[in-house]
Amino acid sequence: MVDYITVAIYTVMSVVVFVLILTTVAFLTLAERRISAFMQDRLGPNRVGPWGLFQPVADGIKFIMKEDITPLEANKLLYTLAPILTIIPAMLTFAVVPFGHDLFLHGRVINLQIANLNVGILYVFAIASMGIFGIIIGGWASNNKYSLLGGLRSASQFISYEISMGLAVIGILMVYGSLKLNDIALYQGSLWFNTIPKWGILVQPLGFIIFLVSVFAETNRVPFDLPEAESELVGGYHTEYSSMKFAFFFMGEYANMITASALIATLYFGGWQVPYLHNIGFIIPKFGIVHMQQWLVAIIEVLSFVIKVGFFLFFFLWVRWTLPRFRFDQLTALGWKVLIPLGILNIVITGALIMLRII
Amino acid sequence: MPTVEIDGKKITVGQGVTVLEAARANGIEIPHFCYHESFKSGGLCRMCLVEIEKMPKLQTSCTTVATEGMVVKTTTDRVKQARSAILEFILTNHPLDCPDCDQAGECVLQEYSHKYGPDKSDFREPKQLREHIQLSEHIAYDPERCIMCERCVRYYRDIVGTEELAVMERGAHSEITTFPGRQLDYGYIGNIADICPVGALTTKDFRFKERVYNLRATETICPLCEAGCTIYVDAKKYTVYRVRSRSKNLTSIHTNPNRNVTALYPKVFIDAILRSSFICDDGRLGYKKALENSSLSGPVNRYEPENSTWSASIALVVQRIKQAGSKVGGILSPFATNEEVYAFLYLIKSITAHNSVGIMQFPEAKEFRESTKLKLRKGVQAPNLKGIEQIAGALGIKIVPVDEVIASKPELLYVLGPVFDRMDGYTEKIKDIQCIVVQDFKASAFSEKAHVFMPGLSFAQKDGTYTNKDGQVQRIRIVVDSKGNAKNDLDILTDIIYNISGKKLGSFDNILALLVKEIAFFNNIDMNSLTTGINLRKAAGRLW
Amino acid sequence: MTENKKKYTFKEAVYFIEILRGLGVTIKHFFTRRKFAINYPEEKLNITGNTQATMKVMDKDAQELIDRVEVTMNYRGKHALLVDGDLGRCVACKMCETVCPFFAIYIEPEESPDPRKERSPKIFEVDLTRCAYCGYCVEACPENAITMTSFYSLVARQRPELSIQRKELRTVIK
Repeated sequence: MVDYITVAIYTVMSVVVFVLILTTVAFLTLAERRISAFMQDRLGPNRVGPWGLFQPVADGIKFIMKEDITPLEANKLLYTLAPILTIIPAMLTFAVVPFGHDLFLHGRVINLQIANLNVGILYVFAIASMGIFGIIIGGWASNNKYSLLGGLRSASQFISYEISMGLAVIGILMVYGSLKLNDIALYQGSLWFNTIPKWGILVQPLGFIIFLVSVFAETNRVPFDLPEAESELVGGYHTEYSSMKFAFFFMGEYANMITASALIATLYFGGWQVPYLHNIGFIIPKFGIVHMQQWLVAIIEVLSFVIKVGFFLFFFLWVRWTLPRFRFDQLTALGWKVLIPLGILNIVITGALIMLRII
Repeated sequence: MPTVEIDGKKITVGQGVTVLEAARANGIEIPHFCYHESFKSGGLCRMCLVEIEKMPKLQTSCTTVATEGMVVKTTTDRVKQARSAILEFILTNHPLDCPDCDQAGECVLQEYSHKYGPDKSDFREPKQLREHIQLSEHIAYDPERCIMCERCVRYYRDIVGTEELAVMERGAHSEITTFPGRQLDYGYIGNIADICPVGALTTKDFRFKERVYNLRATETICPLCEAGCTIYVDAKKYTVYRVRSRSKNLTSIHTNPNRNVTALYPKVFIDAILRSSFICDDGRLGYKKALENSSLSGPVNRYEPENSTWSASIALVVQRIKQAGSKVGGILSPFATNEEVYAFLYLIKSITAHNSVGIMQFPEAKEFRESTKLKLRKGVQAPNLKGIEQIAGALGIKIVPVDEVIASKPELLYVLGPVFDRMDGYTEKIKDIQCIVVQDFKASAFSEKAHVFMPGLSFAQKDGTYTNKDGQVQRIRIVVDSKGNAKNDLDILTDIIYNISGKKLGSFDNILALLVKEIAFFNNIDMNSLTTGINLRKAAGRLW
Repeated sequence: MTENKKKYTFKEAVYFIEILRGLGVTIKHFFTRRKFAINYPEEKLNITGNTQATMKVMDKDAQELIDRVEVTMNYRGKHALLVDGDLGRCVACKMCETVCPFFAIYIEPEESPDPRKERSPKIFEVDLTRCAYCGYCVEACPENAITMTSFYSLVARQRPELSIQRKELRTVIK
C-alpha cells in the first residue's frame, strides 16, 4: 500500500532541495566573484542591491534577455541537448546525499535524504559520469575546433580521474562496509578508541587527498579546468554557447561543485554528523549525557551538514584563486602515474589496517 | 670665360656672372634675402657676404662679378660671424611671431635664423609696434616683419615698370608704401607675396587659411588664358588653397657661358624669365572659378530621373548617338585637354557626316593696364585653343562657331568640357534639339537644359596636356582627388566610343602616345619633360 | 617532452606543501584587505591634491595655474585655453592641430582684436571623443595657451556634446 503522506513529504523535500541548490548556484556565482575580488584586494560586484546581493538576479535577467545564437553549421538537436545533459546529472546526484539523520515527526520517521538507495555510491558514480556527455556533445555539436578540443580534453580527464576517485572511495567502503551514504555518515559517528569519532579524514587521510584532487578534476575546476581553458581554447566546450544555454552549462558546473562538496563532507567529514551527538543528545564518554529534543538534534545535524558543504564550496573558490592551471600532460601524468598507484596503495594499507583491527 | 674657385671648387662661368649666381649654379649655398634671379641685385641685405682673397673686407657676393683667378670662401669664421650679426640686426624689431605668421614654414628668414642665426639677441630695448599699411585689397603688409630687402620695390621698378612702390622713412622706421592716397592696381600684385622672403607681404586670399607645411604643392599649368603659365597649386585633402608661380629651372641661364650680362636681360631670356617667375592676378586669385565642383551627386538623366547611374547614362547616350546617326552636333570647350579633344573629335569624325565641330567663344585675355612692362596674358581666357586647332586640322575637321552647329539642326547635341557661362546665350536656340548631352565639371544655366548631364572633373582633378599660344605642350596634373560621383571626362568619352564602335582608346598615356604618333604637331614633344613637369617643345627651337 | 628538467627540492616536488602555503597567502589577503579601489561616483580621487608637489614650473604663472585652473603636470584631463585678462593667449597658429596624432583639434583663425598679435581663433574645437589625452598639443603650444586640467569626469549623452568649443575651453587665469 502506498503511503501518500510519505510520498508527499519526499516530493516536497525534493522540490525544496532542488530550489535550494539552484539558489545556492546563483549565489555561488556571486560568491565566486566577491571572494576572488577580496583575495585580490578588490571590491567585486557591489552595485546591485546591498553588498551586491541582487547581482545573481541581474545576471539571470541578462542571460534570459540575451540573444540565443545557434551556429549555422552546428548540429541543432545535440547543440540544444548538451546543456540539458549537463545540468540534469548534476541535480540528480544530490538525491542520495543525506543532509541529516532522521526526523521523528508525529510518530513518523523521516529520512533527511531524498532517496536512501542501497547502491548509493555507485549511483553517484553512475550519474556523475553522465555529466561528461553534455560536455562532449556540446563540444562536438558546436562545430568549432576549440569546443571540440575542450570536449575531448574533458573526456580524457574524466576517464583518468574517475578511476582514482573510485579507488579512493573503495577505501571508504572497506572501512564502513556499506554503499549507502546515510550508513557511511552514520558509521562515522562511532568512536575510535572510545574517544575520537571515526571520520573518513582520520581513517583515510591518503584516500581523502586522492578523492579531493579527483573531485577537482571531475568538476572541471582550477587547477584542472582544461576543458574550458580560456587562454588556450577561447571558452572550451561552451565557446559557441550564449544566453540560457550557456547559463545551463554554468549552472551545471556550480551544481556539480555543490554535489562534490556534499560528497566530500559525507564521505570524509561525517556528513551530517556532529561529534558525540546522538538522537537523544550529546553523549560524551567519561562525562555524561546532555539530553536534547529530537527535532533540535535534527536541526543541528542539518546545520552541521550545511556548514561542512559551505566550507568546501569556499575551499573550491579558494583553490581556484590560488593555483595556476596544470598543463595537460601534467594533468594526465598526475592522474595515471600518481593518483592511481596511490589509490591502490591506499587500498592495500587500509586492508592491512583492517586486518590488524586498527580501524 | 673666367674661372673662379669657390670653397675649393673650380668653376668656369660666363662673362659678368656674379659670385652668388656662380655658387648657386654649382650647388654651393650662399644665404641671401634681396637677390632675386629676375632682377638686378641691390646688395641691400648684406646676408650674402663672402670672403674673397686679396680683398680686405667681406664682399656682397650678389654684386661682385666673378673674375679670373678669384678665390672665394663662404664658410670661414669671419663669414659665419658676419651672417650671425646681420641676422641679429635684422631681427632687432622683428616680432618673432612665427606662430601667427602665414609665411612660417616657407620663410627664408626663419630658415636662415635657424641655420645661421644667433640663439639670442643682445638688444634689450622693447620692439617697435607698427601698424599694418594698406597697399591693396589683395595684399596684407606688416611692416614689423619687413626686412627691407626691397625685392617688391625692384619688382615694380624693373619688371612691372610702373614704380608704384617705394621705401619711405629711414632706418628702423622705414617702410614700403605707395604714393599717399593711392593703392596698388590689380594686375600683377600677387607676385610680391611670392617674392617676399619673409611674411611681410601675404595675399589676403590665403591669409590664415592653412599652414603652408600642411599643403602639398603640385606642378601644373594655369588654365585661365592661352599663355599657359607654369604654376604650383597648393592643396590639402580635397581643397585647393592657393596658386603660386613656378620658376622653371633657371640655373641653366647662369651656367650658360654665352650669357651676356652687360646687356642685363637679353631679349632671348626676358620673356622666359618673366613667364616662369611671375603670374597675373587672375591666375593667382581667380583659380576658384575653374575649381568649384557643384555637381558631385553623379549624372543627371532627365529622361529617367530615377535611373541616373553612370552605366545607365552612358548606355542612354550611346543609344541616342546611334539613333541620331550622322545628325550629331559637337561643341567643344577650349578648356578640354588635348587628349579629350582627340577623343571627342574621334567620336565626331566617326559618326557625323559634315566633319565640323563648334568651339565656344571665350573672351580675350587683355592686359589689365597698358602701362605695365610685364605683359603675360595671351590669346583668350581658355588654355587650349591652339591644341584644338592643331588636332582638328590634323584630323580634317573644320572648326566653326557654335551658332553654325546649332543652325545645322542636329538631332543630338554633344557639349564637352567646362561651359562656364559661355553657352548661356543659346538656351533659347536649342529648344528644338531632341537630345542634349552635356559633360561639365559644374552646373550652369546651359546644363540645366541638358537631357543628360555627366559630371566631369576640373583641371585640378585630372591628368592631361594643354597646348599654349606659343605651341608649347604642357602637362597638367591631378592636384586633388575628386570626392563625389564625378568621372574623368576622358573616361566618359572613351567609354562612349568603346560602346559605339568597339574601339579602345585607353587612358591618358595611351591617347598622348596616339597624339604623338598620328599628329605631326605633337611629334617633337619631349615625353620626359612632360613627366618631369618642365615642358619643352624642341621643334619650336626654344629653350623652354 | 623537451622541457628543461629543473631540480626541485623535496618540498617543491611534493607540491602539496607549497599548495598549502599558497592557500595561506590568499586567505591572508581575504581577511586583511587593503583598500585600493575607489567607489567612483560616491568617492572621488583628489588629483590636484596628490600632484601639486610634483608640479614643475612650466610657466611663470605656474602656481596661479595650479590654484585656479587645477592644472597638473602629470594628470591630463580636459583641455583649457588660458586667457590673460580679456584676451586669450591662443594665436590660432595650428601647431596643436598639426601635431595632434588623432586629428582631434580643429581651428579656424580670424583677425585678432588684440593689437599685440595678428590672429586669434574664431573656432577652436577639441573633439574629446577623438582625443587620447597625449598632451602633445600642450607641448607644441608656443604661447603656453593650451593646457590640460585635472577635470576628468567627461560624460555626455550625445557625441557632439563632447566636442568642446572655444568658449567652454576658455579659462581666465588673471
